[in-house]
Amino acid sequence: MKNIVYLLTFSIILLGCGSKQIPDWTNASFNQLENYKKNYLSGNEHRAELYFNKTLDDIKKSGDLEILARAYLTQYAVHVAVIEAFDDGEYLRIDALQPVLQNRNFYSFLKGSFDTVDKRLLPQQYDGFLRAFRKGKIEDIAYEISRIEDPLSKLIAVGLLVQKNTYDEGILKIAVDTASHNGWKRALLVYLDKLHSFYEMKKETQKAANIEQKIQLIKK
Amino acid sequence: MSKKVEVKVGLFVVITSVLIIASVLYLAYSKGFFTREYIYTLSSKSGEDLTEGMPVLFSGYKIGRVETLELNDQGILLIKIRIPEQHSKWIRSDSTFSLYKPLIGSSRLIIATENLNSPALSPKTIPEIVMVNDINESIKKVQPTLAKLDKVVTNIERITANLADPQGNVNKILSHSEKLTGNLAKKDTLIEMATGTPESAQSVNESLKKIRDLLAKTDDQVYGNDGALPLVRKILKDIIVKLEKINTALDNVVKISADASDSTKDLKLLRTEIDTTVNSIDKLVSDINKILPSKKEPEIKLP
Repeated sequence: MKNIVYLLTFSIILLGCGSKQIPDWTNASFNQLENYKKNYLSGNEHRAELYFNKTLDDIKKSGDLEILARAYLTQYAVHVAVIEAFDDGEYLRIDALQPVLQNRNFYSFLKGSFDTVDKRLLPQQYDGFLRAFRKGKIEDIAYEISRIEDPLSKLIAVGLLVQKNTYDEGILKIAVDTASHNGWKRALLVYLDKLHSFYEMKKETQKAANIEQKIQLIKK
Repeated sequence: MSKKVEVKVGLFVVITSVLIIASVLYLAYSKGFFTREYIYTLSSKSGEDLTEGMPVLFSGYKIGRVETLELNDQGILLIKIRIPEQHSKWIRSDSTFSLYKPLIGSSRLIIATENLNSPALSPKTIPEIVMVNDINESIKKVQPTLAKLDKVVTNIERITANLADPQGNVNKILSHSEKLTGNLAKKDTLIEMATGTPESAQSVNESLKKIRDLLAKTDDQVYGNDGALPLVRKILKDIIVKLEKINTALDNVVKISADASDSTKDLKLLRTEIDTTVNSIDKLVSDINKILPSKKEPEIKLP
């Protein structure tokens, strides 16, 4: 009998250690932001907006400005991933009040100011990419992008390269494949369009025509 | 054996035998074995539902039974009923004999006598049996209703004919209301009408379909990494967004229809209900998320 009591007590303690209580707002804001990313990249803009507003509401419950700034930076990064400009007003307001080095570093990265970016403060997945970019060899950059595991990070990297006009067919194709694999229609159309323009620029009319037809079929 | 004992045994046997015989006779008497019985003959054009041994009732009480059934030379069925003497008084010359066929249960022969002072029925007279059928009675009762129904059908036909006629009254009314309701009349569903966007209605329907599909899954499919529970979470979250979409759309509808006070009231009520639903589903999702933390650490990191 005594043994059973000991066993039960031990099990309860073990279970208690295993499951850390996660606050509601953390869980909710994380899920809402994940949904925001997915919906925006898929082209459900209205839905994405609702999710993003919910994310902000949940984070604001905690009053944690660092995380709030991260949410805004995530939104900007998603815009970069689909080659769109973003309004950085909200982030700058937070940064003025509570500057966080890591966030500011990522902001510079999104703005394309790679010279001022501190590699050590940047999320780890961009290490190789930034190194290759600084070396300036386009094949290496393409290789490093293809090595990034997270699909959104991959598109962010390609988006930044498009902004800087440092890309080739291979890099655009990585973005097209990534968007296609994840079912991100909005991103897919953006990069197909970019690829189309690229072929037109290179006077590869047949390839351009094929991409154009593909775009039309997808848009239907 | 002494003579005394022999007498005693003899007496015992005799008394016992007498008692047994007396009992049997009493039983036979009480069962009407010695009662005089009258045989009456009835006639019927059909022997359907008539059987030998069938009870004969008077005022719901069994007074006799059908003895035999046989056909006469004219092909008419003759029914002989056996009635004990003490009950024969109920059978008078003006008595009616009817075969009652209930919807449920076996048929029975019923005797009804209006005037008990009328002369007794002669065993030589052969009265005819009247058939009483519950089904027929029911049909009789239903017939007026059927006639009414027929009228209704005729009216409906007239209305549908009117509907089919482009110049008909109904069409005129419809065209007027169409003008009044404008776009709303073209909407397919109530949700669509309330939201004003077919997309919202469609997305809600899709979610409901997903839930239905999910419920169809068995328990063992619910748990595990590829089970339905993570899917439930996903769907519920999806529903929230869709309902919120409706919420926003409803907000617009409420604003637009501010003049029409009656409909505004209804829409506000509808909106409150949707708000409550959204909140309760939201709570449900967060509860599920609490119970089932996702594989990823729920921490917002830079992408």
